[in-house]
Amino acid sequence: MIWLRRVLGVTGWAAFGLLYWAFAAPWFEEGWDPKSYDWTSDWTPAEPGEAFSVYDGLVTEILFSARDIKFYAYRWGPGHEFHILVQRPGRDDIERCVAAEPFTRWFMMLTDMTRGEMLAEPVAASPEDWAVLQLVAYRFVVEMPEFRLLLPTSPGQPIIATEFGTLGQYPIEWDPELFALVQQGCAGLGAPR
Amino acid sequence: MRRKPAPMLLLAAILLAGCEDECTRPGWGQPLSYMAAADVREMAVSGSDRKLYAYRSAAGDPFEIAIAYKAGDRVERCRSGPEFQRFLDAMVTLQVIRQSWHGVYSISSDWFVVELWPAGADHGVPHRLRPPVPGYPWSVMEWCFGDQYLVDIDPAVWESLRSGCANLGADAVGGA
Repeated sequence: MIWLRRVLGVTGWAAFGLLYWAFAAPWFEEGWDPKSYDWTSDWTPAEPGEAFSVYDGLVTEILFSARDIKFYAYRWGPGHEFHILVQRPGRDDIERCVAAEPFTRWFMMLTDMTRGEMLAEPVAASPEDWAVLQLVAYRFVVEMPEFRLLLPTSPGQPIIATEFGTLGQYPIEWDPELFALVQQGCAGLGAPR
Repeated sequence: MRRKPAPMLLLAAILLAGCEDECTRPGWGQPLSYMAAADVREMAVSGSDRKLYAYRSAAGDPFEIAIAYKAGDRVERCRSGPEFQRFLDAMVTLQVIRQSWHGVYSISSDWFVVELWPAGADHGVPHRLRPPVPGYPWSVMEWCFGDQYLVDIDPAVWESLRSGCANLGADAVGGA
């Protein structure tokens, strides 16, 4: 039965080689290059529905960065009150306040996002027209939501969101008027000091 | 008893393949960020006792820095100087030395979350880092599901961060 042992041996090595080539070899490849990686290779439009939902107690910071306002809210831990810093490019002063009641509604809205159908014709806005919205969790290594938002320029229009990795643009079900309070900085979301 | 190498190697290959997850592990000796310092427009540094936010409108501009301190409910403001640029350079050229064998305590007030945002429509790049502490002279980075790596950061860079605008700023533009 020496021939059977040899056949089995060759078959085993062939199977090992195929599996190594298919699965294990890529594991050893280090330093893939994000510049050359094709991020769109397996992209499909996101389904309408929940884009994300995050436990509000995780969030320690919120950054809203638009061309004309840099809004940064932070707190020292879950259960602590949020503090707000607002800088406006071209101005030397800084707004500073403690978050007030409208901020709570604004913040709670931010912890859930529901999106509609992907826009068939994306809005052709320049990159500077989009604002960054980022939630930060200090204590944990977790993937926190980061979106680019296009705020409506006239009443009745929705906020448009695009998320890195999904490529498409989606209307979202946030209240545009409540969200727009952020542009007023401390006057909209904070309590005067 | 004679051991058969093929089945054992096959098993090892399957196990190795099974270890792969969506968090690509960082490569040794290569910068973790693919962002050039000149492309960075915003930075947030979140610590347990301080929060830093900095932005600039164009590549050649200095950063406008605001640092909030837990102690005394104080906020500093300044424009970035050479030490801030050094801190930024350290973040965009962050390199992994090796995996940490035993790891350090993950839930402690020593950690910082550093996130950089480039110009344009790209996404931010966050890193969770711990500066050297007494008895452990390495900077540590936590990656994905809690894996820890020793990273190459000049300890002086962390000292600049601790000193706030006194070191990071070119000229203080006042407190608030």
